[in-house]
Amino acid sequence: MVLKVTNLEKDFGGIKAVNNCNFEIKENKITTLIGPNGAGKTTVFNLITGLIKPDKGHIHFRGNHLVGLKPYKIARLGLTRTFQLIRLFPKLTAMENMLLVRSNELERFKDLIFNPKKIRHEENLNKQRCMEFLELVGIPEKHNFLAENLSFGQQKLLEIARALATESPLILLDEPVGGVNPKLRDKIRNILIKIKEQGRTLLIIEHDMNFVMKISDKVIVLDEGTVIAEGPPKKIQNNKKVLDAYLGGNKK
Amino acid sequence: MIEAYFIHLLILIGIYIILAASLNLAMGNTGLLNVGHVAFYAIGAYTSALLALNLNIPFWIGFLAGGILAALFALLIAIPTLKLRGDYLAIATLGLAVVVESILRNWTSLTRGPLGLPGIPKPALFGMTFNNNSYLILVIIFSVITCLIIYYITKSPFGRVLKAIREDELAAASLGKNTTKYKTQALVISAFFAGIAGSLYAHYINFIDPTTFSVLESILIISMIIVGGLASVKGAVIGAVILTLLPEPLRFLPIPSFAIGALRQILYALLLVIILIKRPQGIWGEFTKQKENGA
Repeated sequence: MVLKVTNLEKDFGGIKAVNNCNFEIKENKITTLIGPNGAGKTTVFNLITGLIKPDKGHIHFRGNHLVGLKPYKIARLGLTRTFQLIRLFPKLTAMENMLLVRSNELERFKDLIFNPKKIRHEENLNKQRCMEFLELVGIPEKHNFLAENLSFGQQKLLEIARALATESPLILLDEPVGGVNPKLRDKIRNILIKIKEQGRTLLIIEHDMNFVMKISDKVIVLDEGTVIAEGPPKKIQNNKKVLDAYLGGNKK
Repeated sequence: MIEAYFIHLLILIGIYIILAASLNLAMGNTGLLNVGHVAFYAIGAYTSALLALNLNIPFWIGFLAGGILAALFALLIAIPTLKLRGDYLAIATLGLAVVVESILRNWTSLTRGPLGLPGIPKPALFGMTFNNNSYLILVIIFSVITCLIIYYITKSPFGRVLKAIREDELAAASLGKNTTKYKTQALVISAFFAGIAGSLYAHYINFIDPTTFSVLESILIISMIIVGGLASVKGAVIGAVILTLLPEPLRFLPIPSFAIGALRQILYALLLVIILIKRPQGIWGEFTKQKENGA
């Protein structure tokens, strides 16, 4: 178990965005978080990554309590996320965007004065490693382009490459194939599966059911901030509660 | 005579290069809309001048003390203001500039207020005093060193984080960057160089008073980096050269002296508008190269 969320609650001015939410993520699996619009999926991501604070509940990540930690501290524990809308640094090159996630140890101002050799050496190593990730997602030739000059699909790939470059054991992806054409969608799926095979854990929010059913080891269904079902994709597909939540059937 | 005039201009250019390049680090690279850069300039100038006049402390120590005190002051104001973003930070730093100027004007027991501080000694080394020609060399050395250091900073991993913060602070934080710390460091480094520029100015002109350090001076430095190009050391240098020289020809035209000040402002405004329309990235801005590559 990598991540465990217990009794999580978040209230936005009287609306319970997340309500008594409980789930666990297993190591080296792809878990998807699905649910109708407004079910609280992105809020759960924001709570886990510390962008907002929960009203109640606990989040455990590999033996650490995450609640109350600042976002950058959580990121340093080995938990990386991508955003629903592309969140690259537009006026930095693709390579600079990549390097940013790997160089937390090289960015101290005092090292610039006292340790310039180490910076130069490790910066070169990081560049090589980042190039490997750009090759993995298939855009190595774009390394010198400003991120804003890449196409939408390339930006999506760059964002995934960047998340991978963190070497974080747990990666949270918010709609990695949102607004992407079917060909690129399948490409992204293959990349993510390759990543899993390299021993990482993924938690993905996605609306594309075709993608979800093909990629998931486990699906968690969220509705009105609560987990209403979880299990392997096959089981979820036939779950009555899930169908009701999506199709707007009767609720008790 | 004409030679002395050119040397004077070159010394001013050198000092403005330090001011523009250091402001560019905070504003162009980190995205901190700092309208109060002149406050750090003033602190450096007054610290160094007062140490020399009251305590007979040599220029070399006062020079460093000016930079360090400006940096400490930046650290102090970073705590409450760096939580602000964009326009709000601009207003807060504008306030800072006004407050510092007002203190210089009213703390008469220390600064002699509007009377200013006359007779600031020229620096000396091994018994040799730096007069105009040798002072120019001194200023050139310091401005080149400043540019090299700032260039080195902006090209380093540290500088990359500053740019990332400028682009999207929240995203930078979610990548594990302690953005407040980086913004503070950028402001402190920037202030340090503004402080040493102030010291260089004070010991060159030999007389300082609060009017030199009005908010308008900040606007001038900001104009330099906008004209020259944001987030680029070359841009800061070009901007400092152009804006220092631009109003000079007016001196040789048959214009009544009362009109010169106003004409100077009109020229600045005209140049700024032309640049913003024709070349918004500045003459040699950060992206000049990429644009030309057609990427």
